[in-house]
Formats: sequence, structure tokens, C-alpha cells
Amino acid sequence: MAGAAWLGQFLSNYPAQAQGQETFKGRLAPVPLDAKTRPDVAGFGSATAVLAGTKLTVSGNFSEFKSPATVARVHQSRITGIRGPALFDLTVTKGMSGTISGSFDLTSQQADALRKGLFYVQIHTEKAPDGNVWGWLFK
Amino acid sequence: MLRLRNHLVFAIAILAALGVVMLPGQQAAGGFTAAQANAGRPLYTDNCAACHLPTLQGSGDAPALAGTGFLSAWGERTTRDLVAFIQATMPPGAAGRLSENDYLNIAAMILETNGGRAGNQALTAATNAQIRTIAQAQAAPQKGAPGAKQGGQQAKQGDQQAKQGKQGKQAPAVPLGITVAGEVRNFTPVTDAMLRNPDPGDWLMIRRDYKASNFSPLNQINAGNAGDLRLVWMWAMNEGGTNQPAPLAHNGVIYLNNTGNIMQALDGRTGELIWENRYGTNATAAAMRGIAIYDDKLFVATSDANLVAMDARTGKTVWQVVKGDRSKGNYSTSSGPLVVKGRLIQGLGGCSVYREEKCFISAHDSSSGKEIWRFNTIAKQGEQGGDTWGGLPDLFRAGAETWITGSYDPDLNLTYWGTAQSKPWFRISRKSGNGATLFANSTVALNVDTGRLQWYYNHVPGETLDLDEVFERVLVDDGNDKAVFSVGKHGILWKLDRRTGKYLGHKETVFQNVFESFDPQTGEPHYRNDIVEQRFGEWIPGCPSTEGGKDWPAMTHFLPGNRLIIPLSQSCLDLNAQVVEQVEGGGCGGCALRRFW
Repeated sequence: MAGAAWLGQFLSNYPAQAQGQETFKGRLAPVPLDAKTRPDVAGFGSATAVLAGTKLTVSGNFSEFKSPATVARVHQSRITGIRGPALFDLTVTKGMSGTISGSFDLTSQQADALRKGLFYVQIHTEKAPDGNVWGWLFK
Repeated sequence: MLRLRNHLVFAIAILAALGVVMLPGQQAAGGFTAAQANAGRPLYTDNCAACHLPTLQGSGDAPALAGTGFLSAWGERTTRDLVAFIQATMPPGAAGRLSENDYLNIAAMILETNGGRAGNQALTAATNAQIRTIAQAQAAPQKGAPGAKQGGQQAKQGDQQAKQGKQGKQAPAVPLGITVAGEVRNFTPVTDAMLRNPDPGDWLMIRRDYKASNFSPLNQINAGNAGDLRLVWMWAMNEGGTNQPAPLAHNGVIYLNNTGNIMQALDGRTGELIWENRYGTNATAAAMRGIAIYDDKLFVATSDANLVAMDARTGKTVWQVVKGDRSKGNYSTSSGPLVVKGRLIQGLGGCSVYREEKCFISAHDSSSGKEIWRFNTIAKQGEQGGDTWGGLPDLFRAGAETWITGSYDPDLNLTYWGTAQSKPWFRISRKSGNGATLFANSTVALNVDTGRLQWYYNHVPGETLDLDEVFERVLVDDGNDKAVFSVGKHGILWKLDRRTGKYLGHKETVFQNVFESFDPQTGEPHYRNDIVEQRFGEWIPGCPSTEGGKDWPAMTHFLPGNRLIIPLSQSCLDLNAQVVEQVEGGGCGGCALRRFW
């Protein structure tokens, strides 16, 4: 299950890659799906978020979607694993595979939330307008 | 006027016979053909019945596919949804394995079983008829459904075979009784002393000992020589059906329960089959997770909740009893009994149906099968715990199955069992408010002689996300501590004082996000607010999923290191509560939509 993957990352503590810089990673995998959405929800990818000071820089890639990507966003939740509102729009390739990117300033509260595992990246597609893949960002 | 009315009645009768008008309670013919339903029946038996049962009543996580529970979940949806769902998710772990026609035939069989009438129009993947317009939840008699009919109380083997032989013309011709004759030589009857202090070479009960340690003291195989092990013999088990057995070993003989109601005795040294008893006709019956042995008898529970005793020397059936009142529906089991002082203590499953009889643990005389006592795992009004169901009438209190074998403390004379959640899963579906719904999702400690409740501990009051706390209770002595440990689907390791049921502590073993806090004194967990304030039609996300942080694979108490070794997994899901109609004979094992991630 995809949940096992993000939990593994959640439980792993990667040291910061550089002084004053924190790196968070997420595996992009299908959102919760049932029989109705299964034909349209597919694909995988990865996302990396680097926090330097208050600047958060997000990059990543995706592939094997069933329909072209439409939007990609960074979300913040109240509880890890539970959906939350979108914070930022990312630049996304409008294709079945491609990249995401974006850079934003975080408040101190948002930075703390990121460190607590409350941020996730979600990409939507034409056939999955409520979300196609998502991935939680953990150190 | 009278003549006119008679003519009208006659005309209606003619039209009804021609299928032109529908009589009250009759569904429109069509949506599928008889050929499809007939073709679906053996496919269902081979691919679905092991979990959903031959009666389509469902068991465990497998929801009912017949009756009001099915219609509550699916009545407003369409045949296209049903076919797509089955095709996309079934069989578990092998979704899409069957052909599209096979899936359509199974769906047709389900519709017919729910009272749908076959017509001339074949069911296709594109058919988009609302299921309630085809099915009416009045299950039609199943043609040749193996195991659907049960023998009477204490039926003799011959009687049982005779009744099974009349089950319908499509019942498979399964040989019954002793199919390989033989005798275990120099058999030594199993005594209470042996069960309390088993020989190191024996494995006499599901977890080997009364404490459910699941640990063998044998030490000839170790890390240094494990690589030198070589295959001496192998034995192909029966295929088909859920296969999760725990064989027994006594004096070098292995007793193995196979799927399809097949018990075998094997010579442990050579793998030679000593005897075989095919004690039931259900070709896809699950192999129980445990069997039991005492004196000169071997005991097994069947997936349709019979208890069967066999002569351990020869395999011949000695007695068979049916658990519970079957006049209002069937039951199921998936684990076998525990034997204590000549009594078989047996749990029960399939208790989601709204009926007056409630789920229970019972003790039976090992020499006859006669019931000695029973403990209802659902409290009725006026009983201890009866006020924890939010005022729900007794008829609609369901669930609290005991589908995993318990443990036993000879010094305290108590047996410990975990109970499953109340049914349907969601509080809003079962209309129990925020009540604890005792004795669901609890540890119950029962006096072995009387069945009286000594104490209980409700791990998750008012559980609502299909996260059972039903699994094995492991007894650990540590200094002055006499503890009972358990882990449920929440993945929380609970430690209780097994003398009193007092909470001693807990440990979260996997990631969970359904509880926001725990009472430090009592251990009572507190759900997230959005779970407490659940509404129909809203998706509620949660971790772990209904597959469990832990499930039925048991933990081990590694005695040399005093460690608990626990099989765990991590998954998450969204759940969506469905409306459940409260009518006698209705009810629902789950009645929630699920989407995993």
C-alpha cells in the first residue's frame, strides 16, 4: 500500500542536506480510490521540498497518468493523512508525465506545520479533477 | 358489481401470468438472464463463497451480498456500479482475474439471490439499471448452495450426510466421511495436565499453550544451522477457500485442517497420510484458524458454525452440533475452540443480522457437544452494559463477534476473549449514538465453569471505523505483573491486569490518526471530532485502514527475551457511512463504502 511507503519516509529521519537548509521528500501515489475512480486514477512520482530560511522550493516529477495533469498544489492539513486546504499553486506540465515546481515564502507557523508532516503535494488531472496523485512531505 | 370484480381479478391473474403486470412485492423481470445466474452460481462458489459464505450473508470484512444489508448498501446504485466494483476489487488480491462474462454472471446470480427475476435481456457491463428496481432483498432459495442447509442439534454423521444429500440437484458430488481409513498407532489421550504443560515436541492448541504464547521451546534449529535444513517431505493442501489453519502436533502426528472441510492426520516423520475425514460438503469452506484436541478426540468448528468431534485415532466423526438458533438466519466461524477441563469454549461470527438471539461465546461438553453455558457478547436492555447502546432496541444490537480463539489462566480460572466491533460499522448507521456498545471491541474475562463475566475492558468505546480489537489475548507474567496483552486493528498494544481488567498502559505500534488523545488513567481513546460528528455520504479518512495495523496473524511472546513479536502493516483508507434500514432479519456487516490508499 502507498500508505506504507509514506509511513516509511515518515519514520526515517534524513539529516539536513546543508547547513540551515531542510529537505522534505514525498512519494506521489494515487489518492484513495474505489471502483468508480480506479479507471481514471493512476500514476506515480516524487516531490522534494527544500526549506531555506523562510523560502520553500518544491520540485518533482510524475508519470503514467491516465489523462493530462491540470493543476498541482501544496496543501496543509491539521492532521497527517487527512486532507486540508491548498496553500500554493505549483507549475505543472500539462501532460501524462512531466514535472512540478514552485517557490514560496512560509510563515513560521507554516514552517512548523511542514516539519510536523502536515504538508502534502497533490496533482489533479482532466479525468481526476478531485486529485490524481498525492504525497506527504516528510524529513 | 361482484361479477365485474371477479372478471377484473381474473384479468389481472392472466396478465400477471403473462408477466404484463406486477403483483405486490414482485420485481420486474429482466436485467439478467437465467443462464447468466446459473453460470454465476459455481463461479460464486469457487471465487466468493469462502468469504461471503455460501449463503451470501457475509462474514468478517466480507459484507452480505443478500438481504436488506445488501440492498441498503447497493439498492440506490446501479448494476453497472456493481459489476464495475466486483471487477475492480474481487477476488481480493486478484482483481480482474475472471473474464468480464464471469463477473457479469456472478452479478446476475447475486441479483437473482436477492429476489430478482431473470428475463430475456442479458446483463452487460453497460446495463445501468438501479439495483432496487431489480432486486427486492427477499433472498430466493439458493439452488444447490453447498452448506446452506444445516443438520439438527447433535446430528449424527449419517443424518448429516442424508440432509446434505438433499440440498439440491446442483450440489457437487463430494465424498463424505472417512475417505482414507487408518489408525494412529500408540495414541496417547490428551489430558488436562498435558494442555497446561505441553511436551516440548507437541503443539496441542492454536497458540501452543493456554497463555497464547505462540512460542515453541524446541531449540535444535537455530540461527547457526537453519541454513542446513533440507526438504524431507511435502504435503499439498487442498486448494480453494480461505486457508489460514494452525495444525496440531501430538506424539509425532500432525492434524491438519484443510479448506473444504477436510481433516487429515499425517505422520510427521514421513508425511504419510494416516486418515482423512471429509466432514462437510462445502468445497470452499475455510480452513479454521485453529483446531483442538482433548482426550481421544479432535475438535473443529466449521465455517457455518458447527462444532464437530472426531476420533483422533481414526478420524471418524463422533458428534456434531450446530451453534445457535438457525430459524432466523445462519452464523459463521473462522477459528476453532479452546479446550479447558473437558469443555470446548467456542466463539461465533456472522452476527450482523438483526435478530433476537445475540452473538455469544459458549462452552460445550467435549464428550457430547452439549452446550453448558453461553455468554452473550451484546448487552441487552436491563443487563450489565445494556445502557450503552444509546437506547437502541435489543433487536437492532448486532456484531461483537468472537472470531479469534481466546486464552486461559488456570490459576484464575478465567478465559480471555477479544470481541469485534458492533454492527453496522458506523455509529450513524447503527443508530447507537456515542454509546460504548458493550461488550463490543472489548476484552472479556469469563469464569470457565459458569461463563460468568468476571471483568471487561472496552478498548474503543463506540468503535466506528471497522477496527476490531478481536485478536489473540496473550498472557504474560512479569514479576508480580499478571498481564494480558492484545493488539487490534488500530495497532495499539494494550496491557491490562488480567486479574482485574485494570488498564496498565498502551503503545502505538503503527501510525494512526483516528484518535487525538488517550485518557492517561483509563486508556480510553478519543476520536477526532470529524469522526464523532460523522454524517451520511461524507468520506472520513483514517489510518490504519480496515485491513488493520494488525490483523489475524498472531503475535508471539518470545519467552527467552520476554519480547512480543507482532506482525503489523500500514495502510489507510476513506470510509463513507451508508444508511441501514432497521428491520428484523436485516442488518449489515459493514455498510460503508471504502477507498484505500
